[in-house]
Amino acid sequence: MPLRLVAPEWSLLVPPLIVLGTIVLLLAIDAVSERAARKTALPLALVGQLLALVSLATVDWGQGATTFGVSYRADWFALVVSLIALVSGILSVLVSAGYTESGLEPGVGLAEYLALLLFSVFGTMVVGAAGDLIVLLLGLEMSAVAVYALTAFARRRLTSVEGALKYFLLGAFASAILIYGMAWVYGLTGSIVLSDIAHTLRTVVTPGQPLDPALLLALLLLAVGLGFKIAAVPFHMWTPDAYQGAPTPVSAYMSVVPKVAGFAAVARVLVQALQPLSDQWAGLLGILALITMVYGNVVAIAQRDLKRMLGYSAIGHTGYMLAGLAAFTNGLAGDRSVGSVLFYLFAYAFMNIGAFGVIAWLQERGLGTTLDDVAGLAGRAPLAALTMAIFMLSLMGMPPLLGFYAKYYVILALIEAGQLWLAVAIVVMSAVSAFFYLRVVTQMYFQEPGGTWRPVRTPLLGLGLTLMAVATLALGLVSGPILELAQHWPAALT
Amino acid sequence: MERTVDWLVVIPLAPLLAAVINFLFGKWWIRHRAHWIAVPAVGVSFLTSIVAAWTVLSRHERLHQPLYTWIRAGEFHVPVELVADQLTVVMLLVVTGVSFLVHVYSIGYMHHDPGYYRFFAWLPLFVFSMVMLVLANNFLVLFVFWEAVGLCSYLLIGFWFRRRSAAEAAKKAFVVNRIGDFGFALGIMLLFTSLRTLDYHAVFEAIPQLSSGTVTAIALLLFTGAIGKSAQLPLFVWLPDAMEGPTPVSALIHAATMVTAGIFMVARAHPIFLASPIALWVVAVIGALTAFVAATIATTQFDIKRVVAYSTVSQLGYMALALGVGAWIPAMFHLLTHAFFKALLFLGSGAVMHAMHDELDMRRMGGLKRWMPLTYWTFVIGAAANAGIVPLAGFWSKDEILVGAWVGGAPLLALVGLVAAFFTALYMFRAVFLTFHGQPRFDPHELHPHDPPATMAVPLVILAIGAAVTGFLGVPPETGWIHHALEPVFESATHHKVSLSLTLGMALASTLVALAGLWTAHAAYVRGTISPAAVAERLGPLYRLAANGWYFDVFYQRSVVRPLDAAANWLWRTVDVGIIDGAVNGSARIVALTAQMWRRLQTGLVANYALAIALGTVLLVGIYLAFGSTLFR
Amino acid sequence: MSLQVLIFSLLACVSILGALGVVIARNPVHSAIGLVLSFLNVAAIYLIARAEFLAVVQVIVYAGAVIVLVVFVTMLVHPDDLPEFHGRRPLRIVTGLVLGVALLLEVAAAVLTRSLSGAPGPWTDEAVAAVGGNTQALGQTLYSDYMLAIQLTALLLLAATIGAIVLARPEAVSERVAAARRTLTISLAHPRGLDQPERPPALPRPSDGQVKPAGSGRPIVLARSANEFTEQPAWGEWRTP
Repeated sequence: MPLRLVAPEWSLLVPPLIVLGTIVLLLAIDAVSERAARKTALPLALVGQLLALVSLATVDWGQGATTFGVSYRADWFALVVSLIALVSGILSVLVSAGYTESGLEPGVGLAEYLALLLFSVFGTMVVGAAGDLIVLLLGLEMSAVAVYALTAFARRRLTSVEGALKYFLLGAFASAILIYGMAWVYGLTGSIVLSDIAHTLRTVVTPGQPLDPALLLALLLLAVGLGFKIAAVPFHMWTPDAYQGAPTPVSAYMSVVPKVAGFAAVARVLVQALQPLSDQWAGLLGILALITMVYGNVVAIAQRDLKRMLGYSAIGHTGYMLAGLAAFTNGLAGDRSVGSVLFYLFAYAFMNIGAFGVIAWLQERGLGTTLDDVAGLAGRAPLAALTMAIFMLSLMGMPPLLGFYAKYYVILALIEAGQLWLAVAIVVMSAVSAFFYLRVVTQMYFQEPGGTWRPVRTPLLGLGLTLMAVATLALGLVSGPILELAQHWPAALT
Repeated sequence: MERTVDWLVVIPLAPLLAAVINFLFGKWWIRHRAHWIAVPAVGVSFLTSIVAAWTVLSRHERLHQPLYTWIRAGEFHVPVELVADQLTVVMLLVVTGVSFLVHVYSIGYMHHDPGYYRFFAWLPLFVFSMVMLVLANNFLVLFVFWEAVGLCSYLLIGFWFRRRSAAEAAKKAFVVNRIGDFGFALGIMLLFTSLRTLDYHAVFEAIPQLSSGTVTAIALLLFTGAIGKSAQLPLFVWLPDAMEGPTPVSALIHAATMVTAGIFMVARAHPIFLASPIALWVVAVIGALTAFVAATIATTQFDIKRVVAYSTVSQLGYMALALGVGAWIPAMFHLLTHAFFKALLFLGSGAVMHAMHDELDMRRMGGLKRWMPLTYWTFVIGAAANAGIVPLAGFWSKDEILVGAWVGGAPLLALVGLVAAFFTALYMFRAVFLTFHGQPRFDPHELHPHDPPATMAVPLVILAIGAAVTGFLGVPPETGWIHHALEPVFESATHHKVSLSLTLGMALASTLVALAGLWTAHAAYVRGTISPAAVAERLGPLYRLAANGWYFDVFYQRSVVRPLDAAANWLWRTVDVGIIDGAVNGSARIVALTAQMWRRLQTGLVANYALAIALGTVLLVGIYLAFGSTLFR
Repeated sequence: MSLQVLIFSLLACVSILGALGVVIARNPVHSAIGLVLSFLNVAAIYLIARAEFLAVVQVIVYAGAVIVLVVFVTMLVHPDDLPEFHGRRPLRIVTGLVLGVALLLEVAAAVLTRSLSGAPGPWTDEAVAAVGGNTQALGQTLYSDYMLAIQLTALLLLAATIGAIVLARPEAVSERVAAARRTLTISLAHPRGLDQPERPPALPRPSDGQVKPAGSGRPIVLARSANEFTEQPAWGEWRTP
């Protein structure tokens, strides 16, 4: 019997293929001439991702077309995830500018760094477009494996290697749990295709009734595995160590894109495949959200290292986003839950990469990463201090910055879903978070500078930071179109 | 009648871009080339305004351009749209035109200032805010840019922020404006809660549904904002202090942008005011009183810029009076002519300051005519226009306001206006004579006064021409060009028939009054037949009342600022430190302690992390299996 | 059928014992042997499931290539340099055991009381036979339904390879690097990534700790508590607070 090989619908794959092509080109140039690679790698990575971003417009996402059987879905959700991943990727490359040259080991190549970064972006795009559990898992792992390597990139620095090792070991542990959960789902439904799973489950699950124990076990195992990817408490413990240890641009990147991949996976697996179990998982996510936001925001207060503090703050933000998912009601048009999370991720990319970017900018100038190092920054570099203050205030959720709108939509979703207690928790935790975000601002503006200051020029990094600061300031005012795009998700996931 | 265009946005966008560019790159790259960005930008804005004005006025259509939806929260829907109708384009011409001249003038005036780029960043930003205020299509956007204008004025008045008086004046302007804005914001909220919309058109359509009490409350609250912004009694105190800013800024604030915002807002919202006779009456009375009080104060000042500043307050009073008596078109007409002669007067006094090395006291000037003929003649034109001498601009518009007040049912207020007109002529020519006539009261060998350079002189000449001829836009009275232009906007307002005899009579009366003022000034300061000192002695308390600005500042200091200070001090010492800090610090300490405790969970040992994951899994699975599954059922 | 179940149970038990041996054994070579045992039993289980191709792959790739690599690396690394994972931490071992048993019980409860089971897939014995056997069937499925997964796996491996190569690539030879390498040991039992205290305590010196002489003369500093050395910058000079 001959093999049935069906050519995939290439036109749907253009954006990820452009990213892949960029990776190949990067590695090829590096193989031919390392000197040429050092010069061309950064622009190439930028142009490649920009092209991919533009090419998103060539695909008709409204159709929800599939290819490779049903393994790859080009629907609204895939579009928004790809968009966020590419934007974050571009911003991360901008943040990496300069630092990969001076802060990292000179012998370790820029091309490989960027190739790994793009691999991770590619993996995230695959998660967003995954139509079955295996493709989803592979995308998730690709986005993670590349980041494991990137975390250890400053390999002569012990914290970097140690953070990477912890991340890797625990990541493998969590993946095992995740795969075990997937195996259970396959066993119980006989399918790995997300839409088929939902279809099968609808026939066996009666809403409001207790679940079959095995099905519940599968759900919980999946939740644990995915909870690790998005750093939800108590599966978060790798986060601060890895964020602190990694080279700062990598911290910037890993604070956003793997989280995007994680949330995309949560949405694909829980919201799409396990939608009939929404009674169970919405409550579970609500509890996880509460624990996560409380723990992350409270412990962040005790930190003196900025990268570590941002690590805990990232945990807190995971809590807010989980709360957005917990606001899931029925998956029909008008349900804001997943849309609000997608918008949150979009907003989060700008402010968090920006905040890490400012730290990288300071490290370029010979400073460390603790609170004492930013003391008196306003006197030394007023623009950098202003940028950092914008990011901090936005992370805190100060209107009219981007972060405020992000939180606002999540709270709106919660209120519409009737989950008032989570909405209140978000507001209270935002107030707690003011403690450590504002501490950075007061340090910058009301303290005397210390440490040595080495003035250098980092135009590309400066450009990136300006871009992000302006976006954080202004995008909130024009958030309509992005939000509208994100609100199309029920068409893709239900 | 209504047409959607896509070029209207150029008017605000050009100055905004200039501001952003100068702000971002001014310090390092652009520096003393900043005007190459700001001036053309405002020029583009002006030219586009002309196109817009021509389109609107010749074709009798409204232009509008939707930009984007700013807020969409439930039924609260705020689209940002630019709308240009006849009223708007007249304002646009004034704002961008005068601003453009001020920008050109600033090139010369600010030449040696180290903050040159900063100046040319804030100035276009100011223009942008004002243009957006004018082009707004709903009250919320109006309010946002109302505040933005306040912020820009703060930045510009306090431009030389290292000077304590400038910083104080900026603060005062901001705070006093905030008081008015508070009322304004309340008015907008009341408007929204009663009508569920803020769109101009929808609001004006729905006004008849409201009870007269609500409308009056809304109108009065809105007018509170105008009192602050347009420096009416009793919140005018910030305007004279605003002289601390660079002179071009004063010109911009006084003539084109900030203070006219209040007048414009009332004119824009005229359907609301028309629905409330009480509110209109309040507006008229406050306007007339402001015109009179400020005119008397101006007569006693020796600082040339303060004279001009109080004159602005007085003229704004006339405009408010016109609004109050329903003479909407004369109010806008006066706004237009006033923009020209007031900008001219400020730029002229700036030229004097420039020549006299920042001397402002008229007692140390005199005889400048000899060295600065150009400045002298332009200043005289401005002063005469302000004083209402035939046939200059101020005459036509002020006369129309007085006629309007007479027929609008407030002959008494018209008389107050006439009295104020006497003082107007008196203080204006007093300034002219003290500054330019007589013998120099300084050492001319030391100072070498001279006419300003071309960048400053050209705007002066242009403005002087404007001050001389813009009055003819309103000729013949009641049926001039400006009346036809603005007619469609104020369709709903009632029109009084004005007889020719009344017009002529009022014109004659106001001319006589103005000439009397001129004659008095001439007698006192040129011929010396009247001794100002003796008059002041004779008037005693009255003179001191005027010289001290009717004691408004003192009153505020004693009755508001000091008690507030004391109360704040008390609150700080007992309530804040004692109670609130205690509570806040207490809860903050608890959170911090929790943080310190939980921090220990993070042992750094990877095995413990794995155990945490396992523990979480076991707990979650256990709890859910026990309570959420069929395991125990 | 019951014989099949019996054999399966046997193989599974041995496989689990082998896996336990990997974890428990102190000597890394013993661990490797336990791993081989486990792998071979899994291969046998594949055989019972009539997946002979998978069984062969399991033996060749895992029991063969992977184990060779593991043993290779084990032999190259000095045993003294290996981190001590579970030395003298009884509490953690007990906790781990308790949690493991609890999870096992929970899973067992779920498995035993479940009422759901998925529909069997399309590959019945007849279907497999129709395409010419298990290997053919596997190939068919992989290269049609799972085409994307195969390709992605390849890319995943490529990414992992690049990461590994970059991290293990020899450094440029220079004095500074060589000096740096001598002083660096990474030990997950004495981590550096920790929450930093509010006020840094007096910095401990290496002499305060217990210094264990290592085989090649490289000293390994053992911290007495997890809080030691956390303020020490991982790279470069001590920074005075």
